[in-house]
Order: sequence, then C-alpha cells, then structure tokens
Amino acid sequence: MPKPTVTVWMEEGVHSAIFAQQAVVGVFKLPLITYLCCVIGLPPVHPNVHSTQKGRLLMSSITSTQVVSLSTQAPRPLPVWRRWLRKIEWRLLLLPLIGLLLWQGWALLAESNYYADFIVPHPDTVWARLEERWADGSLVTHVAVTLREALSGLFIASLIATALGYIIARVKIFDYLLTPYLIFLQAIPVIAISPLIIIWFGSGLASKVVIAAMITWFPMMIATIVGIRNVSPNLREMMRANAASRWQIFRHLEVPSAMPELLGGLKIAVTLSVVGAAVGEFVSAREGLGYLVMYGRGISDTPTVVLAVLMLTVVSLVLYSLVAMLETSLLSWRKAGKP
Amino acid sequence: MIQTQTAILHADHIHHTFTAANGQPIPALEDVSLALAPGTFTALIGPSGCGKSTLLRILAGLVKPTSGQVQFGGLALDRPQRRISLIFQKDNLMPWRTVYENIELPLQLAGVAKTEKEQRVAHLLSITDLLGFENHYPAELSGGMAQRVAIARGLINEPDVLLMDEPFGALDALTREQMGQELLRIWATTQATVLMVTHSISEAVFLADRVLVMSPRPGHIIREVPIPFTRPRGIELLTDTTFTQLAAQIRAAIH
Repeated sequence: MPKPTVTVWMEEGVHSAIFAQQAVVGVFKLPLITYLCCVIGLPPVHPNVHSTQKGRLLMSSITSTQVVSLSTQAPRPLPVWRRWLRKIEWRLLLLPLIGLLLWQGWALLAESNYYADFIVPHPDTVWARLEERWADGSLVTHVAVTLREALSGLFIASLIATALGYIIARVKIFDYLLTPYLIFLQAIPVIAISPLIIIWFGSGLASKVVIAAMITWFPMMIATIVGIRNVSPNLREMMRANAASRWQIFRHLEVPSAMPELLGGLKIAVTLSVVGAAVGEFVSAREGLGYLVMYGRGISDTPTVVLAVLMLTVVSLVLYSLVAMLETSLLSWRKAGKP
Repeated sequence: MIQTQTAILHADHIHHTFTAANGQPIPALEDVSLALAPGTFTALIGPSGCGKSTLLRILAGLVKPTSGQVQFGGLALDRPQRRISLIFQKDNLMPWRTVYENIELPLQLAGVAKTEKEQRVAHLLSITDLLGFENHYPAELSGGMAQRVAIARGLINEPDVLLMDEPFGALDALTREQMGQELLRIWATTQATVLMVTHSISEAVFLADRVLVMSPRPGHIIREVPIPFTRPRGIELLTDTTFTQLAAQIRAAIH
C-alpha cells in the first residue's frame, strides 16, 4: 500500500489553488487582527467545470466558513523609554574609559624611563605644550591654516572631479578619450611631486591647496562616475516619459540618486584633504599643523610633534563626522522600511 | 474599427526593428495600426516578447519607430508629451521621495503652482486610498500600495491618454483582482483614454471596452474583440457565461 502523502502548496491565485487541491487553507491579513485563518474543504465540483466558476464557488464558501483559528495580536510597539534607550550611542560611554586607559598606559610607559624623553614624551608634557600654544593663540592659527588649505583643495577638487566624472559617466567618447590620461595623473605619487608643486606655486596657501586637490579629486571623480552610472534606467525612462528636461533629470533624478556614492567619496576625500595639506606643509611652509610637526622635529621637541599629530587627527575626525552627519540627514530615507 | 478622425491617439502602419548585440536585426513590430477613441478603455494582450511594451513606448513618444507614424490629437508625436501618461510594470518610484513627493513629481516638472499641487495631490491620495501614507517612503509600502502610488502619479497631470504596461504584473493574484476594480473606479472619475498591456485574459475582458490580440514576434494585431458589458462592472461578472466565452475566444486567438 503506498504511503499517504500530504502536499502543501503555497499559492496566491485563487483559481490555481482550487484547480488541484482537495482543501484550501486561506490566510488573510485584516486590519485589526493580524491573521485570520480558515480551512475550506472544497465542495465536490465536477472536474470539467471551468476554473473561474470553481473560484466563485470557493469564494462564496469562504464567507460562510467559520473561522478555525485566530492568531495573536500584532506585536505591541515599544514603550517610549525603550525607544529612547535605543537611540543612545552606547559606544560613546566607552570613550572616557578608553581615553583614560590610553593616557595612563602612555604615562606609565613614559615614566618607566625605559625610553628617553625625546622618544616617548610624557603626556603631561604634551598637555603643557597644548596649554602654551592655546594661550599664545598659535594653536588656533595652525589649525585654521591647515583647515583652510584642506577645505579649499577639497572644494576645488570636488568641483572639477564631479564635472569630469559626470561627463565621463554620461558621454562615451569622453570616457574613451579622457580616462587613460586621468589615470595617468592619478598614478603620479602626490608626495613625490609635492616639492615640484612648491617650486611652481610658492610656499604659501596656493601650493597646499593644489596638493590637497590633487590627492582628493580621484576618489570624488570615481564616486561621481559610479553614482551617475548607477542611476536606474527605469527611473530615467519614467522621467523622459514625463517630458522632463535634461536639467530636470539632473536636478531631480541624477543628483539625489547618486547622493549615497557622492557622500561615500566625500568621506574618503575629506580625510585625504588633511593629509594633502600636511604633506604640502612638510615640504615648505611657515604655518600650519604639518609645519608644526617639522618645527618640533627641527628643535628636537617631541611633545610638539605629538601635539601636532594629535591635532591633525582631531581635524580629520571632526571633518569626517561632519560629512557623516550630512549623510545621516540627507540619506534618512534609506532607513525607511527597515526594522 | 474606430474612425481615425475621431481618435485621440492613432498609430499608422508602425514597423519597428531592433538591432541585437551581434548586429542582427530583430523585427519587433510589423505593420501595427490602431486608433484609440477618446474616453475608451482598450486592452492589448499577446504572448511574451511580442513587442507589446515596445508598441507602448512608441505610443508614448519614448521610442521612434523604424517606420510609420503616431498621431496624438491630430499632430505627429515625436517626443513624450505631458498629456500622455505612461504607467510601468515596476512602480518606478523614487526611493528618496515620500509618497507625496513621488505623486507630486509630474506637477513639479510641469511647474505647477504650490497650492494647486497640494489640492491635486490630496485629491489623488484620496481616490487611490492612500490618505495617511503621504509621508511614507516607498520602501515602507506593500507592492499593491506602491503600484497605487505609481497610478496616482500617472493620473496627477490629468492626462488625456493613459498608457499602462502591465501595471499589475508585479502583484500577487489577489491584490491584482482588487487593483483592477480600483482602477475602474478611479478611471470612472477621469475622462482618460486608456490603453493597457496585460498578460491576463480575464483582466483584459473585465476591464476593457475592446481587447486587441497581438501575434508572437514580429508583433501585429491579429484580432479585435469588442467587450459588450455595461459599466460599472462588478466582480460577479467573472462568472458570467458571456464573460467566459469571450475569454475563451481570446485564449483561442492567442494560441
């Protein structure tokens, strides 16, 4: 005797569901009760009856069939205090702890006298330098100079790179003609060429801006190309069907659609711009955090070098956080529909 | 056949040929002529890959046919018009725009004033049963709701012609039946001329005033079936004998 088998067939279509089945379990979603479930034994219908008519018969029997089981209610929304708890950045609570550990570890290492003071200076000495340079205002000047160089370079690079990236992504002939030369440009090591840039543009602001721009344009251009190429062709067609102009397609489709990639590129570029400014200042400068590093090294004052490096890190971090915040506010729609 | 003089959209001996990646020409449409009378609902049905979507894109002015001409309101159609609206199989909503902003898009592109935009979006939100969802993003909607948003967007310009490319193709069968009825209800409140491409025979018979049947590629219209049912049409029509006969007639024409 053959083993009896039970076949469960998931089906969305009423017609095909009853075409082959002996019993149908209907699952419905209702506004208040999450799920309503009922089992309907199919009325004996002659197999030759058209499926549509069978479907009507079934539909009428569903309404008269009693509800077999009711599932539980929808999950209750979280209480307010738990939603607030979720919003807190718990990682930040660790920050003072980690900071304290690092500081103490560093202090212990310095106090062990295993390394000379000019190799591992005591954190208190670095703190003293910070206070001195804060008091005479030179710290703010150095930070401001580096920040200005980095941001100017980033700004100019972003303008050129997004324009270039856009035409390369949209016009095949530009991609074909320009791309090899642009890659050649990127292949020049910025650090190696920076002395030349100083010779050409002088040791003031201009040369640092050029170096910062040279180091940031490539990630911005690649981000633009990827972003524009990723614009959905279906949405393009929808815009065209709505008689949108080229400018409208750019403004309302391409820019918002490429925004995630553009902001990703900006995240990379913004920290690189600080690197570019510092590199320029290493070669030749009279102010700026990179200059401060070289100055400290020149007079064998390691605490000043450490201070300058820490300040460069802080500048990078702050700039990165600003872009990350911009991302959170511009791309808030990406959180939609996710638990 | 409808007199071409009274037609709002009229395709005259359309031929269209694609070029495949290997350079081979692929004839997609062969001598297609059709005329849509104002305010009528026409369904276009045919096997997969018979060129239905291409024909719709040609009628929307998105694709230029290899030969033949499309006339809209008596003038040659050479590019997309705001008076012609195209609704796609995929909802094609912008994920970064809310429901409200998505519906508003065609008005924004046409430069309509703010107060009028608000009124019209509010009206469409109510007839497509989307009130309360205007600030939701597409990712938060079900397939049926997203398609209703797409339909609302397609109707917001109060188009003369509504071209629909399997608008319910991505939906499950139950939602599909419901959406068909809703479409009829919404359509009754507009004066739009509708041409709808569909794969579903019963959907075509249920919704349309006439059904055009296309042959496999290269597509041409092989059959025209007028649907005599009066409106409004209810779901009970699906079990009507005439309905079943018409469906069988169309099924036979396709195969």
